[in-house]
Amino acid sequence: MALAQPHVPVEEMETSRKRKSRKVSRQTLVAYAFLAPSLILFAIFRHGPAVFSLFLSLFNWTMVDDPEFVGTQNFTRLAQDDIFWKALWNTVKYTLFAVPPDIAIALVLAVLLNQQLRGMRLFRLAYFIPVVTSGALVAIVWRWLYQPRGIINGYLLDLGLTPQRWLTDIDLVLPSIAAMAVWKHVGFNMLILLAGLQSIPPELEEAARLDGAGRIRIFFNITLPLLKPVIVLATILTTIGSFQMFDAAYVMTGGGPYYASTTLVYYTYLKAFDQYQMGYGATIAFVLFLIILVVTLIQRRVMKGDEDVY
Amino acid sequence: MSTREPAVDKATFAPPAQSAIATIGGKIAWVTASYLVLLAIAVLMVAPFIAMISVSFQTGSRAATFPIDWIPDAPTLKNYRNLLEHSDILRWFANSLVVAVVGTSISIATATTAGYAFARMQFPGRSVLFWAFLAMLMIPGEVTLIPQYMLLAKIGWVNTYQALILPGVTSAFGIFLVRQYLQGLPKDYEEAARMDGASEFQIFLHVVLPMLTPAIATLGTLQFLNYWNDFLYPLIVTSTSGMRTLPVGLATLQTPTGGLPELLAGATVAIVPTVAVFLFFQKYFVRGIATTGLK
Repeated sequence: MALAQPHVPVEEMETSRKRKSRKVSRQTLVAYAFLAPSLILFAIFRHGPAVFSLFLSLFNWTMVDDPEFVGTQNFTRLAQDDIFWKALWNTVKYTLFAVPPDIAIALVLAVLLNQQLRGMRLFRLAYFIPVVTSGALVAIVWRWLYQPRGIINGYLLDLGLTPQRWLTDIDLVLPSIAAMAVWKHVGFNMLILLAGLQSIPPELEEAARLDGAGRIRIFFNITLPLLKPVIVLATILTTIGSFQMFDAAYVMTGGGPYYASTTLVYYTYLKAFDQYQMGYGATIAFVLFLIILVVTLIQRRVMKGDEDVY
Repeated sequence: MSTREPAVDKATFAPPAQSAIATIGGKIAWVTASYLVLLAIAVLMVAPFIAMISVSFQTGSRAATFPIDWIPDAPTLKNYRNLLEHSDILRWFANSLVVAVVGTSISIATATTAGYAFARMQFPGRSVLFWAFLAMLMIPGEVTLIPQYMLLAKIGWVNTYQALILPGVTSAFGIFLVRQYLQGLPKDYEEAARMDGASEFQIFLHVVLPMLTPAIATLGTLQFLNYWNDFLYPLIVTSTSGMRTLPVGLATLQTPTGGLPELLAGATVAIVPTVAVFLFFQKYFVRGIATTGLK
């Protein structure tokens, strides 16, 4: 993104250097006065900690004993830590369970809502309510829905299906949490995709319709390719969000059973705030940062590719 | 798409009259199917909340197990009363409100002043600083959490309101939003006020801020919900029940009565304000998300 260049006429720049320099320094002063609160708060609470977290991963730091410099030992320990690899794999699996259905359902909803039928505002509102509610509270409610003798199993029984141990079955716990995440988040993607759909010029689809193309053909050959950048964006944002999953693991399962729902952030929490291994916790968090950085860079690359095509 | 294909399609068409009927029939079927799908998903979206609210007004050992009464026979406030007596829920509610309102206000104050400087002033270091702020959008809060906590522990701020409020006021998105919004507005009013001899701060307060109302509403709604819903951060920086925010208090609640209905009553108390804020500021929230999409 290019920052706007100052529009200073050449003549003015050449006249009275002295006056100008005084004027500039005054404006600089004013600008920094306006910036000062943000600069100070960001330096203390964001930039400082961001830099410090790098440094921290090179230490054994328990908050009680003196910090001890250990070089890259935390990283070698990480490489041999089975639970770390399990947490990483859990996080990847959870993302694979959560993201594709989230995007697919959001796309269906956005396309249906884009028809401008009556009552669409009401539907949009209903889909969006879970998005604005707290993840921890939603997890409390869903922990109850998922109970062995809870509502979901009750209706399954009524339908003649087998009740499941949603949160205590090793193979089922991540899909269960992912299903809740889709329920909570799909409205967000629906909104982004709807905005994308509304920015597609209607003439394109109209022209295809006049040429006799059916609804399905128009969707796959015209709408979907034009929507691709927005779909990529929604996918990336949702993937990053999935990699940060914590609330549900904390509230619903405590990372269990047998670490089956321990995610990267939950493991960071365990190490840093349950066992006070700050340096090791920071090392896990650093890995999370690297993953998110790579995902973001992939997004940049894919988006750039699109610009070249169109 | 090749231009020949549609011609082939047309050749296979039935006579015009019949095709029109088929089209209308198809349209009705399509609209009906659309409504059915939308309605089914809307029911799935709302049902957990309805169940939560219904059961929060019921008591008894079976209140929270299947089958539940979707409409309570004899609604009672007993769960709410139990919660008031046996937990700090009022305190948590007050904490959440104070943290969200004060934090959001400071966020707005700092993001508007910084965004104004970036949008309207020339100064050395402008682009470097702007990118330094934006870079923070790429670093998830979980990464800076541990050093933040250590800093707060060092200065003795753990379990204080400052700790709950201040780190969260830094919104790179807010600065970006205000700058973008201002760049789309003319400078005429500001320059007129400057001609009239107004100070920079007066211009900001009386000319710029009123123009920024929609951007402030967007940022304010997003920040309020961020504060109100945040979990991991307040979980870590609070250590006593009296300092918890609502989600943390409820998630760590051990009810002496051991009752789920009480917990659902608590969740109702915590969720209703967010839905209210959302319904009231809907337009601005939607705009905020659209801005995320256009970033």
